[in-house]
Amino acid sequence: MDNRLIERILQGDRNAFRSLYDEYFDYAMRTAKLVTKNGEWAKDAVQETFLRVYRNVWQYDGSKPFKPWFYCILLRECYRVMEREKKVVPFGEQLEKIAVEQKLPDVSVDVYEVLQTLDDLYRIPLILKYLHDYSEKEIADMLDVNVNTLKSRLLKGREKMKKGLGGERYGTES
Amino acid sequence: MERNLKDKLLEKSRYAEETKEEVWDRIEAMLDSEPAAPTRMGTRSRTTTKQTKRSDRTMRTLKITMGVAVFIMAFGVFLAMPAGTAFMKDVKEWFAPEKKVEVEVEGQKEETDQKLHQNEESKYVIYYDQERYKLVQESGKDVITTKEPLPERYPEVSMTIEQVKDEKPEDLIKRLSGELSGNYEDVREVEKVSEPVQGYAVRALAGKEWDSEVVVIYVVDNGKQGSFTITEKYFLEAAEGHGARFHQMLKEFKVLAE
Repeated sequence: MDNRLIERILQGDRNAFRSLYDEYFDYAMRTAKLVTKNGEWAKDAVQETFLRVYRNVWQYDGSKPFKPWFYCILLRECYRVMEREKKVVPFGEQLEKIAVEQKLPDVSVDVYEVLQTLDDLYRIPLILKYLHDYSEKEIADMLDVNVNTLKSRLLKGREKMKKGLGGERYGTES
Repeated sequence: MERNLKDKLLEKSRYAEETKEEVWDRIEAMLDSEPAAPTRMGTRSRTTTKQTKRSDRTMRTLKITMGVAVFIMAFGVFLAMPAGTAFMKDVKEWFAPEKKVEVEVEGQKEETDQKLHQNEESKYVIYYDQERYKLVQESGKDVITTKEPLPERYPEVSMTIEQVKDEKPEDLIKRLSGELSGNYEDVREVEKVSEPVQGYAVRALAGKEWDSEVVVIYVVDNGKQGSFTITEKYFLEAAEGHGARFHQMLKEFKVLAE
């Protein structure tokens, strides 16, 4: 992110804000849609994210990458919307789902559906990695975790996915 | 799998073409209804609204109103600080489905893996040690108990959380303390406590043997004229084991605001 753009936004330049919106909208909308699993909630989360960015841009530390800062706001807004809609499934239930929904190898098992049953601990890094092709370092920065922790979550996430998909048949395709 | 996953994510995250402008219009409408630009804290530019024929009195009222509005906005901004602050850390912790917590058990420090439990109905959260305990929901109560059932010779080990919507903490603790008196040999005085939770506590013992039952009841305000009761049950010898672990887990108990 160009710091001059941030400076202009700080001056109240709406065109500069629109440039930022153009640059990040697709990233934000796609991520929010996958995290909230709902198109309308995703719109609400994205709207609130950009509003918060605009209002609080003075808090952004220009010496650090913009993306992690933006992502933190986006993820929080996603949760806020999900909580508001009373649709946050308790994590325990999510884990139970994984446990009972493991299926035998079957072509009808959808890789996306399996991903969406994972605990957020694994689901979010996988979304960031495979939707946006972010590097492990970038994702670790966004989630504010150590790169090794992130690697381990990605690994476990993939293992859970393979298990959810019914075993090695799918896991060895890559 | 990975190629397939990427394709699926791209497909499932697709959105209608008009979405971008629709959301932008909503954002602009919100921004247009706000008076101030996002200037740096402490260097907010003054609004240059033209004031032509307003009387001094009207101006003073306007200044007071604006002052109040700026204060409310500043307070709102403070509450909504998004990153690089302790607040952000809290938020991240808030959503962390699991976390590591150091516990001191029988003089030894150890790290435990704690799992988040969020009770949507009763509006509270707690982290519990998932290696040793399980959380089961029965008759509107959350019961944290040992993963493996204890042999029959041991008394019950559990921590039960329940909401009592229509009884204030002060009244409830008196009633529960009275009920304990009929069943336990040694019932202590009700105490006001700030740890592991803010509220009241009463402790009862069934005897002085290694396997004598121990009950500790905490009562916490639910913020809506009602209470939460947390009942810990273990036995004397387990006070520094299960008792210490329950105590630590209870430190993570938080009532959520509406």
